[in-house]
Amino acid sequence: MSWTKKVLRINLSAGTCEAEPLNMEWAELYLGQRGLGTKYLSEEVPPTTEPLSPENKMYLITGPLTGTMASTAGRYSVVTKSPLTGAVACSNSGGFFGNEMKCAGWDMVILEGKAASPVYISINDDNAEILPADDIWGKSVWEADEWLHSKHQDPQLRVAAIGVPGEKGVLYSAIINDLHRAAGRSGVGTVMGSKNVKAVVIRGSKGVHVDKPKEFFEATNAAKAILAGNPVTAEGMPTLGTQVLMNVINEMGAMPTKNWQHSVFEGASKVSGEAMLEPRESDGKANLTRNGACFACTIACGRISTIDPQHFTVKNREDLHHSYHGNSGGLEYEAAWALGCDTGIDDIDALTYANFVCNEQGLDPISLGSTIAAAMEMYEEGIITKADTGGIDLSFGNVEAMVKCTELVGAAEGFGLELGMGSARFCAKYGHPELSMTVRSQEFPAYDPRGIQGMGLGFATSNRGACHLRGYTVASEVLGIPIKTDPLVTDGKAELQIGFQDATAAFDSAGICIFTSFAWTLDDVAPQLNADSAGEWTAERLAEIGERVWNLERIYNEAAGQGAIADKLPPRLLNEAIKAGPAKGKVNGLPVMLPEYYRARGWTEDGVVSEETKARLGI
Amino acid sequence: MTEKITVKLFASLMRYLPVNNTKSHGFDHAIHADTTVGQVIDALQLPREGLHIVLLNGVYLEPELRESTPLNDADVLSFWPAVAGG
Repeated sequence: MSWTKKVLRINLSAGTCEAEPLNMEWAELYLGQRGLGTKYLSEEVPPTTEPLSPENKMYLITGPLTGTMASTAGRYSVVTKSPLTGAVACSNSGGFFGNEMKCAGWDMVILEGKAASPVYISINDDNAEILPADDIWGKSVWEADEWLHSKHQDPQLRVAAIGVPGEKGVLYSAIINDLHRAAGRSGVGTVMGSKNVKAVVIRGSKGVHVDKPKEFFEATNAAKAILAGNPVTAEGMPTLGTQVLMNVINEMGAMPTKNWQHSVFEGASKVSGEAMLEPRESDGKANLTRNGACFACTIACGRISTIDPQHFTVKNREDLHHSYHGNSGGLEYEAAWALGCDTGIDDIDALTYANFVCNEQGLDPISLGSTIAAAMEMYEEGIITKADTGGIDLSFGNVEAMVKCTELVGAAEGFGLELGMGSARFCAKYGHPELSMTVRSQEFPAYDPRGIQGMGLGFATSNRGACHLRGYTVASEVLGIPIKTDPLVTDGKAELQIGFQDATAAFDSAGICIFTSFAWTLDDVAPQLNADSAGEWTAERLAEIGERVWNLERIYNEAAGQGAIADKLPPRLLNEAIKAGPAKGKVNGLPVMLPEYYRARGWTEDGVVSEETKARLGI
Repeated sequence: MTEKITVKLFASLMRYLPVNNTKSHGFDHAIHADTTVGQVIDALQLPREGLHIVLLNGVYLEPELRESTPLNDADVLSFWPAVAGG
């Protein structure tokens, strides 16, 4: 049985840690991780709850495959109500934290209430304690990680922590585990900080039990063979990581550039995955040292990189954590885009440095880079001046300015606190909300939906705010997975987006990484779950679970004021045609796709989940 | 009259870049007026089974059109193997 059927509920206000049974009726309907966490949220946290109040709760939750030998089975999710979006938040992370939670005997850890002073949570199998964190409050994730490992005298302790921005209310603070894996989006780290929790540390020694071991061995081996035989998961991702996309998206003219004013970035190839392999002049080393894998992963897309020791960000900088002078988590495509293309910067070492800061301090690089980019456009338009920026020349392409802004947000100081609001609040504060490239106040990822139409619908309807990881039709529209569709047309995109959204919700609830879906379908996941967990699991049932999860998130958002009223794109994407390149002349066709989407979802024409759909899905 | 196009090779296809061209993805390739994409693939000895994404001036070229599509002076022809990210 792959669920431990045990939940650890930690009430920070009362100072209690108590075990309770997992609600298995809900697990049958919502599986685990994203789905089951959202079910608990919707039952326990009213949608109108203030996200940074003690009444909000956090659900750190695994899936039924987490901790097993299924490929990529190290995942856990953080579900809560987001302070950035006001909608449901679910951030998913790899590394080695989720499997450790499962091995300690817990499917889920719930944090509720608020501690009177800074604390961290220590979990060692059945023993859970709330311990003082005064010594690490005000420290970075990396400093806290070292202190916690030293204090517990256990090199295998797994740590998930927030940095200074999470303590001080930066609205896109992440929870970082294993130094550079992130529950990155929607400000889940900010919620943790609001509860006065610096970190959760876990050590588990119980192992994980599956329902039918021999079948499970066969099913997971068969699934791994599929990953090993697929050119994307076997060669493309380990060699170039997500950064392989940089040149693809730019060459097709869908690269958001300078706060989405342009759709081709001249410097893209200089910050691409391929560029990360090129030896640099100073020491002959490439940016990329090697690839890396999370727990049980047979893809290994992670990037381990160094910064050029002669680069201004690190040269003679003895004040920096030693990791800046060595190997650490390198650039993913989204981070390289947001910190680079969107700000007009093609300096790969500066981007790597900024990415390290995001890891050290727990920041979402997409929201950070996008907010800096919006501020740069406002600066160039004269809407803000050096009087607002603290003297920083925020011109597009100014490397030093991007680095300085990143450091200030990382320290949560000065102008960094302004940028820490995120672009929606920042642009609104200065009277230009239309310059914020967001949906539900969450910043877009790196795909211009004027050149990739289905992604516009995906951004507008994404339950956690603009996101690529909720319905990645780029796979079909650009990459031809599973079939190639035309990125420049709206026909069929409603059904395509729904298919991706529901399947993704199922993957996200199972305990595995969404990147397996480049090679696996739900038909490949079902046999693994079947052998792992009691009960009959089929692809059809998993797709229905995905649909149920999507609709539950939507219902929660409707009650939180984030339903159909927020299914919008910024006017730039609807009214300003792409200026040059292969998608020249295009705007996004959301007004055409959205009614089709509502209809295909079985919602009312106003975008409300219908009673019939609720009844059909058993919500 | 001899014309030329720009060929770009990315990801694992970079191994087919001309010698001394390893720091750039693109290189010039001479064509004649009636040269097709298929003929360029032959001339460069690119592995057809490994050409998953082919963009002609940034627009996806369907597999069934690749052999016969003619090229024009100054076209940009880009190739990728099967890749994905996110």
